[in-house]
Amino acid sequence: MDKFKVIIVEDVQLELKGTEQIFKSDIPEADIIGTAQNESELWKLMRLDKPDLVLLDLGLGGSTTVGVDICRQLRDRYTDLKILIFTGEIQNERLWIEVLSAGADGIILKTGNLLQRDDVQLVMNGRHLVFNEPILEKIMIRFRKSVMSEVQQNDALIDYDIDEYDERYLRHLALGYTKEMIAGLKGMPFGAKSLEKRQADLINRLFSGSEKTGVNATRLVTRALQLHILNLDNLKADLE
Amino acid sequence: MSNDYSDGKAQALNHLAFVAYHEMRFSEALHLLDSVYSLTNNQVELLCSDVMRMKVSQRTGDFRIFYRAWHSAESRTKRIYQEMLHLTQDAVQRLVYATNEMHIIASTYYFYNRQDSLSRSEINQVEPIVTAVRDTSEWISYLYMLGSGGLIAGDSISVAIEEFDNLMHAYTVAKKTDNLYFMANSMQALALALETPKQQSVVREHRSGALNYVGSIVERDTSDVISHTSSVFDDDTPLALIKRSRHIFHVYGDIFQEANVLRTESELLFRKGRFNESLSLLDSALVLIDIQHGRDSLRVPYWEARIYERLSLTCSALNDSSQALVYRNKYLECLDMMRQDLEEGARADELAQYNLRLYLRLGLVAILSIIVIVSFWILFRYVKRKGRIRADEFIDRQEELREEIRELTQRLEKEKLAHIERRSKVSLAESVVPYINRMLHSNDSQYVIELSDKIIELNDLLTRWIQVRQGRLSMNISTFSLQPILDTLAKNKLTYQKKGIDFQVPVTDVQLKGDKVLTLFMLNTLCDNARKYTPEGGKVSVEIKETETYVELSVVDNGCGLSEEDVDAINNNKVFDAKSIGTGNQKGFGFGLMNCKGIIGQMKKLSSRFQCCEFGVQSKLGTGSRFWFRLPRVLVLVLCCTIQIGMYARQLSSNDKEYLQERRDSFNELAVDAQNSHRWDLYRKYNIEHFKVHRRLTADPDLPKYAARLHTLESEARWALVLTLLLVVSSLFAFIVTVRISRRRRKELSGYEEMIGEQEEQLNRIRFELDRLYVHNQVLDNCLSTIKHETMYYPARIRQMASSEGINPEELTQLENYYNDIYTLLLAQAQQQTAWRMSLDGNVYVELVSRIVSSVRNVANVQGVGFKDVVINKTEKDLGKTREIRFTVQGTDIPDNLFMPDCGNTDALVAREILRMHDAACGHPGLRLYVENNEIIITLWINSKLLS
Repeated sequence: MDKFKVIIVEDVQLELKGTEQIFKSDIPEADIIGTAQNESELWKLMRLDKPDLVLLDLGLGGSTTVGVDICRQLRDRYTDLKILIFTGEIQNERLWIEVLSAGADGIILKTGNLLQRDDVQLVMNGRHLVFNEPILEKIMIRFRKSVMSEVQQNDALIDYDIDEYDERYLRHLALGYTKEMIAGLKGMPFGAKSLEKRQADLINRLFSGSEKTGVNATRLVTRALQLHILNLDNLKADLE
Repeated sequence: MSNDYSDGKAQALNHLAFVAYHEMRFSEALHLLDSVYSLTNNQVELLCSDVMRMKVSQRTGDFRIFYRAWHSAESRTKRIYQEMLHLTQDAVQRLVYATNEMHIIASTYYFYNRQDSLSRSEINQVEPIVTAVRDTSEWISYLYMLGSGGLIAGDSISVAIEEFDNLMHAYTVAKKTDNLYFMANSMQALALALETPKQQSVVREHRSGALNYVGSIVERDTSDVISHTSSVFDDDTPLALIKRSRHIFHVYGDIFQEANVLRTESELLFRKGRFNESLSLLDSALVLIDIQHGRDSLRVPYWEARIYERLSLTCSALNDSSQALVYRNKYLECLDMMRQDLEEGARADELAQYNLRLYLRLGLVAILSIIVIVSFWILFRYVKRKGRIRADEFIDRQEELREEIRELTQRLEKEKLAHIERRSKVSLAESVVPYINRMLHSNDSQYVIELSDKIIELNDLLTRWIQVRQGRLSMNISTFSLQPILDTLAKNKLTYQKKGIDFQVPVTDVQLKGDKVLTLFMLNTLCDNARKYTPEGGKVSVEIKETETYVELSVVDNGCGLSEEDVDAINNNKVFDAKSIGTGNQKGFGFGLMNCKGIIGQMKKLSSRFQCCEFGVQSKLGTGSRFWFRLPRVLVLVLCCTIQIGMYARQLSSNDKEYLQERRDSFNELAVDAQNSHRWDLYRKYNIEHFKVHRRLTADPDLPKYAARLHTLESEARWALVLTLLLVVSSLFAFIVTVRISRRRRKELSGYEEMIGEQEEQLNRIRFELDRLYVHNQVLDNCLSTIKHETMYYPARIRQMASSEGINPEELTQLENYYNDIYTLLLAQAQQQTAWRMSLDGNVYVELVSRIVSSVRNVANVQGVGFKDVVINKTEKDLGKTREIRFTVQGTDIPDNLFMPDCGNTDALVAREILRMHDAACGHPGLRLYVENNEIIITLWINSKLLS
């Protein structure tokens, strides 16, 4: 890793101290050209000397989100500047997305292993979306969930003998189509009557024993969603 | 024009009745007249009909009918005269005819009754000139009446002359108009007026020409029947006149007048001593009476009486005294037939009955009216009062609700602000986490010491902050019954049923002391837990055990149960990790048990009364669990409360009556004696007296009154009918009004109801929010105090270890890790209570400003520097979707770290919390909050939508 210039933005003195220690011990290539405890100090420093990396805390002063705005402004002014977020906002997932949209190259949470040399190196090598362990964990959980949902849908289609027409029927039912409207869809070879039968058949398949009584279209669709036969993310009408 | 038709028909019927009257078919006449009543409403025709009825009833001697008809006619006349302008020419003619006729009949009635003055006054009411112009027959009738004697007052000669003049006038008019009936009548009257030589001489002296003319009448009218040829008036002329008259009546077919003339002729002959001729004439009259009897069942008593009287006298004159007595008796019989008081009793009864019926009817109507009025009044009042009471109730209830809403809203606001303060405390606790993290990753003991110091400093601040709050009794302690709480729990039954779990909640009258909302929270938490860990087909129940001092509430399930270690951890450890509780994938993930335990622990500290408060669990793996807590019991004092018509009566002096009867009888005897002794003048005198007394005796002085009474009764009956109708109509009206009022009331009330429903909903919502916030706050208090208590030790120990010489890095790391774990766990428990997004309103922003101001003021006070004023500037910038608001607060000696925990300014921390909450809510990150050169600078964005 080549030498690079870094500005640390951190409002808590004691934490700044810890961060500086990490740089000194783990990332000797870093030349800390300045530390800022608030916004105005940062801009002053930026005017003095342009760094290669800004390690930015999202919360400054009383605010926990000011970093997002600072990040956006930095990105606007310095396109090739590396911005790494170093934040204690360990729960605020939305803020992560916001700051990534504002141009941050990565987010390191002040939890787990804190700031690691590898992560800084990745950023300096021009990698985007650099995260430390806790965020990656979260990302994985979400990703797995999303994939599993698709898998479940496939399984459900097989488990419950859902054919293309069943799926289309249920999907359009969920979108508020009436049977007549569904019967009128392109490539739908059934009339409203047969769809009625199909619905009764679907209820038979998707519900067990005593649950079958009193099932209406809403309940059927909800069941289809629960069983992942329908996917909320793909709930779109056929193109006509 | 059915009206015209029926009027015409009525007139025709009147004419027919007139014909029947002349033919002495009186029943038929009355029948015809009755049909006029039912036929028309034409008052003039009805009047004619009344008059005709008078004529008929006068003949038949039915004075009841006579008087009623008379009365009816009189009142009708009055009524008609009031509306005379609307009458047609014909109608006016008929009216004049009828009224004149009425007076003439009345006059005749009085005349026959020998009540001359009354008769005179009646005849004077006839309008001569009008009559002369309009109706000659009436005119003649009038003249004839005047001429017939007794109606003109004055000295005998002038009376005689005037009477003669009238008769002559009547005759001439009758002759001119070929009115045979009146010609005959006036001839008869002239005969009587000129019967005696004395009469003749008086007339001859004054009206000699006229007298001769009378003679010539006979001559010129001479026909085969009459052989008299004299052209001048002589002694035979009267008889000839009468004969002539009789002939005319005979031809005319008027048996009534024919009989009368026969009687007059016989009387004339009688006076001349020609008794046999007289008798034969009277016999002819008897034949006519028989004819009349054959025609009609109604008899004509006065007519008959006079003939029988003459017969009796004639028989007596012929010395046939037995026959004379027979006729005398017949005469008296006829007189009796004319008795006005004949039906007196029956009439009185009838009248009484009529009266009674009427009064009953009126009384009934009155009672009904009263009932109806009273019932409507009651109904009105009821509806009104009920409406008013209900409206009042509603208004009261509304007022109550409004007050309650106001009060609860205030409490809610306070609770919200209290919640924000607790969130600030949680934020303060959160600010420790990075230090702990640093600690974990630092090998620099000096840095660890510094971090420990910082943590200790923050812990101290939190401790101080929590203690400030503890000065107040933070729990809502009250005495409450358990049942409503159990009812609320039971509402969740469906959730259990869905999972196939039987959920049982007992019924109880137990009263507890404690915090109602927290009790519900704890029971709910325990029940939810039980539901989560009980498989399908299982059972969850709430059980109550009462002892003298406490009530033990337990939630029992037959679910998977807990291991001995878990039970031990829950019962004995102050802090335990829910994630480690349970087996396999049935691990817990919440803080419910810890919260419950914490609340009970808090309660226990409240006072000695709450020493009994305990929390615990009994469980065995696989068989189920029983979680319980104890609250102080309140003894219920069971107070047995013990709840607590004037009758129309005729009076006639019996003395009078007896006296008159005696007089009548003696006059009768005198008359009979005079008759027997052929002293005709005396007879005449006594008989007239007899007749008068008889009339007085049999007269019904109340008959006119009776008729009037009947008349008024009829109108009263009509009034009763009208009243009844009015009553019905007004009842209907009142009913409609009542219905409408009650409907309006109902509408009004339903409006109120709706408003109250809305208010109640609002209240419920506030109450729900308040309770929720209250629970959050209580749990947060508990969490925060747990954090304080349970973690205070570690930073100090870490510091101690880090600063000691012979440091065991592993031991330190272990301690740091344990500290991190317990801190994270307890903080997560607190964070769970702040994980929901709280809506911010105006009050929160007011609080923000006041907190900022007081934070600045506090700083100034602490530093002892005179704090003058806090200047707030505000600028706004519209950014389309959002609005940027920047405000600055200027002061003196404001520390740059005012909003940082290490400044220790809790007001500033609360203000910071509010701003952070706002920042999170408005969706535009980038809040600025810092202090620079004694100026607080705040820049925030507000979503334009939120602004409204």
